[in-house]
Amino acid sequence: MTGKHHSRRDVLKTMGYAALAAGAYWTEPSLFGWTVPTAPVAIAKCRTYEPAELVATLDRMFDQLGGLKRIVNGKTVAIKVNLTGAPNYRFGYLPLGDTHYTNPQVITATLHLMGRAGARRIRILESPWSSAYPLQETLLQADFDPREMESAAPRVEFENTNFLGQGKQYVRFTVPFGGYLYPAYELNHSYHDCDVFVSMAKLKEHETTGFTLSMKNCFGITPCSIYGASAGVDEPDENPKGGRGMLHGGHRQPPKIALPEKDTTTPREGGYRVRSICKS
Amino acid sequence: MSSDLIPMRWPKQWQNPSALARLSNTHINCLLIEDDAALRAVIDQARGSGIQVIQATSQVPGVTVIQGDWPGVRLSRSGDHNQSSTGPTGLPWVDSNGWKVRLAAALNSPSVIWVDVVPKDPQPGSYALCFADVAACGGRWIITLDDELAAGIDGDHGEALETWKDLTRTTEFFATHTYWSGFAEEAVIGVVSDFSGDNEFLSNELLNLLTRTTEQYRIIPKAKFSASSLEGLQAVLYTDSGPPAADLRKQVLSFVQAGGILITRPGWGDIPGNPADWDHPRYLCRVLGKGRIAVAKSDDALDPYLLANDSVVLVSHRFDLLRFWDAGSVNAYLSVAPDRKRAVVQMVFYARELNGKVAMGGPDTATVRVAGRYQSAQLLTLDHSAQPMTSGESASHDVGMVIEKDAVELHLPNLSHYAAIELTI
Repeated sequence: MTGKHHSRRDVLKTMGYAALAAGAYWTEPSLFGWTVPTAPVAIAKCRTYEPAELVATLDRMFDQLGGLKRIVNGKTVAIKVNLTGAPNYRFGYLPLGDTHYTNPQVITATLHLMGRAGARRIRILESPWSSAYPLQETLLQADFDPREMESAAPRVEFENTNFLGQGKQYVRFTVPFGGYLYPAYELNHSYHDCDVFVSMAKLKEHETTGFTLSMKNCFGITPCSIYGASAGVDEPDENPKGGRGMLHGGHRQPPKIALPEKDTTTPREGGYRVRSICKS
Repeated sequence: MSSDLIPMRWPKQWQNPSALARLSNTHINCLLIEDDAALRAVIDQARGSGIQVIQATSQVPGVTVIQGDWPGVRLSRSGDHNQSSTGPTGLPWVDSNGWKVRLAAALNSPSVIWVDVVPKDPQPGSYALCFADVAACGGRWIITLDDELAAGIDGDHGEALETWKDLTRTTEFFATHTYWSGFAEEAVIGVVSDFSGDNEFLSNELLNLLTRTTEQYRIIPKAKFSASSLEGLQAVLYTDSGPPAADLRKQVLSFVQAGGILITRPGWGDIPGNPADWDHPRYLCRVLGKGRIAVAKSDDALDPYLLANDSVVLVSHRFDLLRFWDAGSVNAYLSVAPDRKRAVVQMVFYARELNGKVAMGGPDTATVRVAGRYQSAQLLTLDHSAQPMTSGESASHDVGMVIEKDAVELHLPNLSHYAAIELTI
């Protein structure tokens, strides 16, 4: 991923915006003037979430991709996990990791392998529902054990990216081609202060987009302090509450710290703004 | 004994002594009847039947009466039953009396607490809910029927009779589980205050909103503070505006030195220890011995909602004694038998989400995690006999119990306003 004229961080910025526009990209590729990037893909099946099976399988998959060491050795890795919705909602009686949250054993196994491959620092990132509390607290409410994750690799950190978090200021990520909705997004520093970005998805159905994978997971990198229900007109709400109705429905603009939408005359429908990739 | 009494305010329109027959086979054994000549025959016959009749609650020794709120989800200002007022995160605002009962009991020990609250736009099931809301915390609601229900029962109307049956069944349930009163409340946080004067609003609202988090707490009135007050706690919350007395201060700081957490405000006075190496947006954090101290930076942190939720996180959900999924608006209380081999979790359900709207009643598929090495459990509801909860696989789809390393997870069936789980080690 390291280009001749671009640093890894520049490329990661590009990836962030590709992620935000992914649905449109695949349905209307002619709107882009670029060549579609390609990369090796590894697919495997695990029968269980047992650590032994997961570690062995993931290890083999990373080898199939060319090895983890060349990507993470000596690097700061940011892993955006998918913890959609409040941690006190389950599907029936099933643990959250078995349904719509990234499974904690998958996170832990990946941390272990990245640590073994020499990652200098690994940050687990998510913008949990209606919260500016430490991410570890959301994990505990979901019945995950952050200490197990912390002990899986040498330097594991957690950051709630729903607000400014540990950073001093937001980082503006400009959409390379100009963007569809917004020309740029203000994000938590953790998405900038990394060398490697991983979207650790959870395959599941999604009412608006059809299904969720790695691109849809990145919808959650947007901080609700700016793009959420409680965001101020002038300033972010550093104790954000509610969801990202602003992104889905476009009923208002973000606070002045962020750039407004490019075109407010477009339909204010969730399905127009965030499209289903299952529809023809 | 006052603790055995189940009081009811006698409806004025029930002037015929034959109405007393409605109390037969119920546990209602104390009538509050205003001294009215028209009810003289009722009073005489009630006394003749062994029912205690009182004209005023002040006549009952050992009882403290408090004013309560009609419990449940507060409806929207429009009065539309399909809408509700919400708290800051969108959860329905719940009126409940449990914390008031517990506070009154702590301040007036060993009094029995009776709650005086009249029905307010009662919905089906809300009479039983009101009784359970108070009784789950050891109090007694002075049963009060609104005129419509009293008339409906008098006229043998089906729906009214069903509500009456529902209510008397609830009284029976609690009358047959009085042994829980010998159990001790388990707690993570101790709330220390005088609960009065300038400190009344914040301390009272804090108890109300801590209850809504399902964090288990202990009420510690300053005047009754002793060395044992902090036993078993992870944290102490001291939010009074003035500093603590020297002895209280000394004991709380010893508690911190040994690994506890103190959450307080600048009024505490000098804070010992060293600055912590982590930041909190609303608290200055210090380390003292093995423990930590968090001092509110400003009055913004003393918003009761923020204070309650910040406190739970400052302590950490790692120490949750109870943790719920899909339970709707629930208040829950964990208490443990003196031998610590048995425990009971009482759950009062005020509302659930139904098709995107708030509805009264309990959840369909709630789960509760109870910290502790329990091996068996049984579910008790108002309308069924005790149901053993069988242990199963960790990812079970079924109602039952999953035994974990230091906790049990209980998958609950469809529930009404109240349920309890008895656990055994």
